[in-house]
Amino acid sequence: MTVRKLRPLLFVLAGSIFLSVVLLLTGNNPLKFFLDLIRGSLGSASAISYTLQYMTPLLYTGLAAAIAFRSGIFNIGVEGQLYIGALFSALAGCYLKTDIPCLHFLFTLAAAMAGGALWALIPALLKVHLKVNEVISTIMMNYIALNLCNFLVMETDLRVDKSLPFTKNILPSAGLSKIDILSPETMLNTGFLIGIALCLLFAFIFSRTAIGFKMNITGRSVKAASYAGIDVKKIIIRTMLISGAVAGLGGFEQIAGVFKHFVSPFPDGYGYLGIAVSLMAFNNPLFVILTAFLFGMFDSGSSFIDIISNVPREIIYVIEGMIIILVSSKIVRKGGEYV
Amino acid sequence: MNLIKTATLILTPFIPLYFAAMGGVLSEKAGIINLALESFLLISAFICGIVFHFTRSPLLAVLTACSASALWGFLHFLFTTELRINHIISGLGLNIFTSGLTVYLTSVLFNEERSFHIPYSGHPVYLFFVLFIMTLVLVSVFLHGTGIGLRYRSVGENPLEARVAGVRTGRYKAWGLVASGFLTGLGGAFLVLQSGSFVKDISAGRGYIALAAVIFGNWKPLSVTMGVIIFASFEWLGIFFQGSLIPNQIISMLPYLVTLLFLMGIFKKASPPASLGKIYG
Repeated sequence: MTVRKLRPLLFVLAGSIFLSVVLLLTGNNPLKFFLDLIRGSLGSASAISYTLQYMTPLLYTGLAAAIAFRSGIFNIGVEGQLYIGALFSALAGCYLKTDIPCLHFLFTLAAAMAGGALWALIPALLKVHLKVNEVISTIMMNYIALNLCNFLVMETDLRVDKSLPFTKNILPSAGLSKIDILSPETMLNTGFLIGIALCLLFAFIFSRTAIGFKMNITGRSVKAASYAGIDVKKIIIRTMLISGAVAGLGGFEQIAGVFKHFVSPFPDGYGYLGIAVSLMAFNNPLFVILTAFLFGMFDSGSSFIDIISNVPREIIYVIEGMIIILVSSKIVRKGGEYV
Repeated sequence: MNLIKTATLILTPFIPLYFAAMGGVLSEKAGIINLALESFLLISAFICGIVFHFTRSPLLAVLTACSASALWGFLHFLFTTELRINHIISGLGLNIFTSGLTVYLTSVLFNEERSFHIPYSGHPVYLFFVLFIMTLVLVSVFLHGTGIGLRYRSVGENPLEARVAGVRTGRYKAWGLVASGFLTGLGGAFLVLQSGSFVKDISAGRGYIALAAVIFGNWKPLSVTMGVIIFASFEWLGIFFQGSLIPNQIISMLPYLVTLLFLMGIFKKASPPASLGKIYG
């Protein structure tokens, strides 16, 4: 690992210093804050387990963003793709019954991937055929997904009960099993391992396969790619389908491993944080594992601080926002449109 | 009294969206994509609430709110133009940052609460209606009827040629973003004065709807205002039917759906400023 690759740590430091100043000015002790942050994220077996649980959706959304960014497509729509993937897997998990349990699990998995990919396909087609900028269209698709899911869950027969804002529970045959080696109280599940495996798989795809190479070239320069005989339109559509499917799997993990049903409102922000995770990892699937871990620490540590002190959990957004901005300042300067 | 009620009812969804959308027009005409509108609304709403709470002066509250939001506009300018950060990233980063900062400061100032009330009992609607007319005229005349406005637009269309022609593009962008923040600040201040309280994430996605309205209005002040009226009327429908005829979620979805259809060229071809979102050395 070269020194340059360690630079994101500097930005974490800069964000921490800024936050320390804010904390000092408002009469809180920054040292205690950061010690508590570490204690709440790494201090015990259950703390580590929470960190791993919180980093799991970010593995998927970070990877989904990285796949798209690598190919030069600015997929802001990971958030919406995760929503649709979650909804599809919640529905497949309770309605697509089969007698062969393994098959049911695969159906649910496939439904999540199909949902996410479908939601990504729309902006991809608009970009390729109507030259609609994917940034704006994916943002619109996020809000459409959010409202559509809320509508379907709250106002239709999918709702389990008039008093409860969620769908029927999925069958156990579609669920992911818990990992309770570290701590029985957290919702850490095998989706975590799948996420890690996916990151490794895509690290391999990007460095060792033809499609990965084509995606890389398209991301570096669309012109060079088309001169080299790469069908750029095809790559764009494939990339978005893959990116959307990975985001959909993130939704699957939340449903099959954590919630067991689609609850309205569904936890939001994983898609946007995934963008931060990916940028900080230089859009490299291997580094996504590390940066997702860091953001998982932020999540578990700040939840811990929220409970034990009078500092609200949301304080961590200050650092996260700063990291997003600082990290991309250097990356853009290096050249390249988004990467 | 009845008149006030009716005017309030009609203008409440319209005003914050309008000011944010005008802020968006100013920013995007200078070539800077403004996803940070959401954070402008949030910081100005927060500052307006705090200043009013401590000074009880609505005028001072609105002015400081706008200044804070103008500072945020300047930050967005620094990030996008001086630090050459991707415009979308800068916007998203500022939104996340501001959301955390306002919640934290609220909890520090108001005993670990995530919201606070302000003892304001006036009717801000009239003042803001006048401001709406004034700013609409000002922005339209400035952009499409003055020499400076022409140069301003040239910065968003073709900054390289503008620079060759002697236009200081950086200054135009900086002042444009400050003005964008200031205008959007009026919307944020209205949100707090109208509802009488500041709550966590009070902007509630209005910045994004405003951006949708900017696109829907083809980056022209008058058409954008029409877009805002249409989007606000969706909200009126929601209040009117109380979800009985059309579910609320469908109504909240409409602005985004309509914008997406617009981008597809179903109504008219979208024509953004030519250099929108580009980063120049």
